[in-house]
Amino acid sequence: MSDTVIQPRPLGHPLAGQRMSGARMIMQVLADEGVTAIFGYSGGAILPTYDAVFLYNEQAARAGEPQIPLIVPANEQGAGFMAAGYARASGRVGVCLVTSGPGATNTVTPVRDCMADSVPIVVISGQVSTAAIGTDAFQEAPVPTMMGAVAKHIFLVTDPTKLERTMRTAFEIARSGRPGPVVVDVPKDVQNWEGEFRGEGLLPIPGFRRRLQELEQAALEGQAAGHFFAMLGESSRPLIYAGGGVINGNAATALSEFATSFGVPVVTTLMGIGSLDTTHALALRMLGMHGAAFANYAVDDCDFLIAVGARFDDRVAGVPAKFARNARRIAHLDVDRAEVN
Amino acid sequence: MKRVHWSHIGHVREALRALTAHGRSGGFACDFSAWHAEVAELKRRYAMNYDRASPLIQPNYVIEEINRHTRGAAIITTGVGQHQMWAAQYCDFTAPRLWLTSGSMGTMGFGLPAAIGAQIAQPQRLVIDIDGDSSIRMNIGELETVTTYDLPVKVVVLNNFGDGMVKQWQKLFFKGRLSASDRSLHKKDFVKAAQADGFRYAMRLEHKADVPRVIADFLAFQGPAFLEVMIDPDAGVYPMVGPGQSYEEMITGEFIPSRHKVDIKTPGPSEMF
Repeated sequence: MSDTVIQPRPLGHPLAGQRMSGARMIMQVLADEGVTAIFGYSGGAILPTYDAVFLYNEQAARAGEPQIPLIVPANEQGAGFMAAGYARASGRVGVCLVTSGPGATNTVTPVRDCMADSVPIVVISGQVSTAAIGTDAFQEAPVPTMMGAVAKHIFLVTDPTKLERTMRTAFEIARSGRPGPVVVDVPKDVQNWEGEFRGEGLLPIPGFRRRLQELEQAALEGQAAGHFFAMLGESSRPLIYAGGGVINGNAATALSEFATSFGVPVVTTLMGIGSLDTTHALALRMLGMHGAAFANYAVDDCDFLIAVGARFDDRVAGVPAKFARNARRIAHLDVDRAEVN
Repeated sequence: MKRVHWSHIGHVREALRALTAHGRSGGFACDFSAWHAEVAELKRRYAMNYDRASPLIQPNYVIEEINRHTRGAAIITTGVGQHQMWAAQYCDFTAPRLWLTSGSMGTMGFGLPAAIGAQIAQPQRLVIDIDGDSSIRMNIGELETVTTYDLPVKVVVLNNFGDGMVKQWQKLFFKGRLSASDRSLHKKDFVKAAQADGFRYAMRLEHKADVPRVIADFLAFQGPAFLEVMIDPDAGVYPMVGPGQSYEEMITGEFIPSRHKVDIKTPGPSEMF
């Protein structure tokens, strides 16, 4: 194959060069990212963006194009979990649009929940105007501090010229590597600011992208694969222990093919349910605190445990020393270095 | 955490594909048929089971009936607690992204809003929120959201009058002192609540004999549907590996055999919930 393939120059965004409000830019990036529904509750500090959603849908209706419905919950915690349900069921990034203060504090629980279960959502919260931040203004809450502790990443947009790129970068961070929740806190004056829409561009986040690139390049070498199959060949009772990383990493088909190709039975964690069709002969259902007895006994009996996208947590390996006690060997595949060993 | 002998950090899908390709091209063949026979025997002998003769409605029975209709193709969401574990144990899932539950955080109230989001994302799928009477109260305001958007979400509340999992632990480890977990004095009428929020199908299931018929009607209803099931308030989740216990010390309950004789041990003061 020739290495001089000429990439077609990507066509510019049809709206590139247009002047528009920050709020419209937020909405346009949501549309560009393929968002098909927004979950959220309005309020003073997010009103400009709610207006932009209305205008976008009005325009789409006129043009006969698909609208992006705004689903309104009873409470912002509901909106966060709706975005999470949307993301879990589809694999796409869920979007939650809430106001400042209580709107943002009510979404802390779903954001932490998404972090803990590696679910990609983007939460856009209105914030009081930049001049009022830190004054205990009406409906003000310290979103970056609060959410910083529970989210995968948090942006407070104080420079409106970075808003568009920040929005796009939020989606990139939410869905890549180990997925998770990203919060974009946008002061009201930044939503009302007008500037030129570029239609492209991301923020420089060199450390994050370098780690992503390392993951992309981390091909499993032949030697490592050879070592793996040597261990599998020496075992007589191999068992796969599949976790949520198989679901979140869209690896269920790959796992099923691996398990059926070599005849390795599979137990899953609570989060790994669905990694292998539960009605398959090799499926041993859930292990752990309330796992099936046959799943737990198989873990006790196996001589080679293959952990895939799982993390030996306290519901599974309450007593690590006694977990899979007959496994002479343990192998572990995971996207997150922090979960191994 | 456990020390491992072999590890790979990277995307698990690509790694699994690479392993499969390597094994196939190298002609890896290993006869695991003896192990497969052992596994099949484990599944047969230690199969999931419960008190099928009880005159009370067992939650496991309700979920088995739901599963008979869905055949592992529905999206199931849950709250947190006993009903979540029964659903995990008794529902089949033939594909990923059908089982939506708050695993690590364990957030009660997850089930109903997650079902709404899932139905918006997958309008063609049957979406069922299998919930508990305590979990659903946490976000019960979202019942109205279901009918506002006319989403055909099916909501099942397994009502055992309280925080069932908390009660189970209090019975096992706190000598049955049900501190703040029993709600049998509550006057809540879930069916009226669902009707008030616009559910045209809102039923209460109280008799075991009605389970198959009512579950079939409920799942076949076109549009939002709500079903409260009055389950055995003393039903427990088994098996159970107690905190700080190994799998050998797993309690399997009265209806699943155990291969070890085990005593229920009170966990140490620092053991986790």
